[in-house]
Amino acid sequence: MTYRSARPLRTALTLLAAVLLGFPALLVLGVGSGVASAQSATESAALAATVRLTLGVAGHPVAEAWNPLRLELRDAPPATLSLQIDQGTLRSGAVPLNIDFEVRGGAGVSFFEELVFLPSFGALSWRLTTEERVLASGSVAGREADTRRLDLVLTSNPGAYRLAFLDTFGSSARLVDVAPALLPIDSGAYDGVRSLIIDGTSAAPRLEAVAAAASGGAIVALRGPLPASHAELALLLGGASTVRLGAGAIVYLEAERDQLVEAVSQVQVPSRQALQAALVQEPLVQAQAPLKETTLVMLVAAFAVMLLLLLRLGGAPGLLAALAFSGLVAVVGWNLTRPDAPRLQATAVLALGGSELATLQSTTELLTMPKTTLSLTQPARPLRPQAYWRDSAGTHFVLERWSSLLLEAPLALGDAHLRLEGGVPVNRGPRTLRDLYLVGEGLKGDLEPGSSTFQTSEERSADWARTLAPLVPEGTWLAIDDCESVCTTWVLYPDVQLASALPAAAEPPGGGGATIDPFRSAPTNAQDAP
Amino acid sequence: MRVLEAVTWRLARPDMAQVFVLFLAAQVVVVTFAWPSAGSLANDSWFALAPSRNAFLALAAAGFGASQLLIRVPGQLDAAGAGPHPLHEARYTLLALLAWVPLSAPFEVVSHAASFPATGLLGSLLVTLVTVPAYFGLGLLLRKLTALLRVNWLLPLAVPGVILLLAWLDMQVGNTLFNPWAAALAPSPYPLVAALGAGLTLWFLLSPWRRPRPDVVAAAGAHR
Repeated sequence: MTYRSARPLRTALTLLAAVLLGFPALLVLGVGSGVASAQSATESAALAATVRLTLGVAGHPVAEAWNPLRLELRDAPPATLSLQIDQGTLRSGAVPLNIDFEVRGGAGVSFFEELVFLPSFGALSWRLTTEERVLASGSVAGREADTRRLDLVLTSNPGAYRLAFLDTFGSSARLVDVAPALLPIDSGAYDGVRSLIIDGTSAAPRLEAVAAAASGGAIVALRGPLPASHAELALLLGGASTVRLGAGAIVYLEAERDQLVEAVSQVQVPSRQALQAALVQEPLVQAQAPLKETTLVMLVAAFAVMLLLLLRLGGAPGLLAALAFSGLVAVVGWNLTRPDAPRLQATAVLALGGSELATLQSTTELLTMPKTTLSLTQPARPLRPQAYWRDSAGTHFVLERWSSLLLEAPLALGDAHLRLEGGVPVNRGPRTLRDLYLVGEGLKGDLEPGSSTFQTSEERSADWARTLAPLVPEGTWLAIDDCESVCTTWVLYPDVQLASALPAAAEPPGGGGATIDPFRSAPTNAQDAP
Repeated sequence: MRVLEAVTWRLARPDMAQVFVLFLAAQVVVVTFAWPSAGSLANDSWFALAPSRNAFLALAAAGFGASQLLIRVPGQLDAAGAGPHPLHEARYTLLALLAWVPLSAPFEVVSHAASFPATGLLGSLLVTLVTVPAYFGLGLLLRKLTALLRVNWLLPLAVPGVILLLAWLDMQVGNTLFNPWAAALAPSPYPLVAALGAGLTLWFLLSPWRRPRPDVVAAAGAHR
């Protein structure tokens, strides 16, 4: 009994001693960890202030589009920026996309900008690391992946446009208020932008940024009358109230906000994705057809019989003859069945022309026979979900045997070879444009360089245009250039037509036919200076 | 010329001629079935042909090795004196088997060219070249072991059994050391192991101390 009663007493004493002895230790540990926490929190706060990552225009990423990535650093050492994106689904499992960039950093403020393709992702995480530590990190949940294209507004009153956009575009509207300084000047960065509204109530954007937005496929709507600070934008209009520029268009209207948004919805711009899909409907790469099975059976059987006959009837010379015959067959067979190269590659370019600019979208198909790791120096993204990684050296893919890959490069700008001058198509390129096709009318002929007169030839064919014609409005011109290695398909939309219900466009500011190339010589008027 | 005639004679002997016909027929069947049918581009015929060819060669080499009468220390004629010296027989058999490699090479060359694997053709041909003497030596060893253990009846089962055992061992190790099937497909330590085996076999068959005594050979010639 005593023993039994003594036992709880001993236990209680032991606990008491442990608590008494352990409390200071616990206290120290607690304070220590608190200090550590506070310290790490301070460090994090300090680091958070030095690193700022922005993905997408004005920090709004668009899934399934090329997005600008901007990293702002202050007093940060050279580091590696890593993005891990899981583009898989429940069915496919994880399909990783890893992006690593070396960031130089240094004293003071430094920027790092890059264009990255953001697929529809399940998870996205990023971190900026040095060899010793993680400088910053973050993540974006998959549910935040939004494929809706952005409607940017440059205004002092963005809320006033919300209802107009909702009425016109419904749930597909994704209105983003953006500061002029945040507009990228790379046309490829506007892949995920549908429209850009400028009403002159905020600071004037850079001319290059507006031109890049329009040529990148966005519809730029200018709501007049614009203040003098926005006068240089008239250079893009060239005296007209609507103009096409690259893959997009610019509209100038002196109208209410809802009418302006309505006008945006009426402007037809080429759907790059649809046109690109039509372009690669047929395989770009034509691989050599393998030898027919029946032919192969006959050849190998004949070889085997010949070999046996030589060995059976020829004696020692027969053995030598059989060896020589085998060597000969091996050499001939190798040359007959070996493909010319381990990898076949073909590129098709879709050129969307508007005014003097064309937006070039190149799609490359690769067919590899052996398993290989493909490294491209240029950024590219696969059209079908595929694991790959990208770093400062380029874009890398691991391809299995006999697999093909369709790659899309970011948008690029170039001179429009096919232009409409006075409503007439003119070839301003160095090569002949073949088989010009006017949607709604049919095949017209070829255009020699510098010419607007069609040349007819016996080899004319409109077959190539049949897949594209249903995707574009009537009055669109289609052409292919006289390609040797890379074929370019030109798409030239008709002039922008707005509904008559909209108020007539007034003459834009600075109208009267500005013909200056806005990319080379933007006016430097003292009045326009902020 | 004498060696060439001896090899030809060995190749034409029914046991080897029949197996060679079977070998060629097997390759014709494999390459035909593995060849892509109409409408398909991907050619994977080499991935079926190369391992089956190497495995067939290994099995045939081990089988013919096990059929040699090199149980005792050579230098003596076989008891009946009716055939060539067992050492010569073994050498010519090995040479004849080695002749199979270039004779059947066009099958592999053509399928390799059309399949375009990442593995080089020379490496694949080298693997088959070292497989034959290595497994021939394994057959000789098996024959000796079964004779020593007085279980000669086990030999027909022992040859394929040991090859399967080695393949199983490879799978346990997780590397290709002995498996002739997997060796042709990808770079592995197999060629080194097989080259070691081939070297031992050649040393066993060609070393001077194993050379038949001239007087015995002469006596054998007189006897024939």
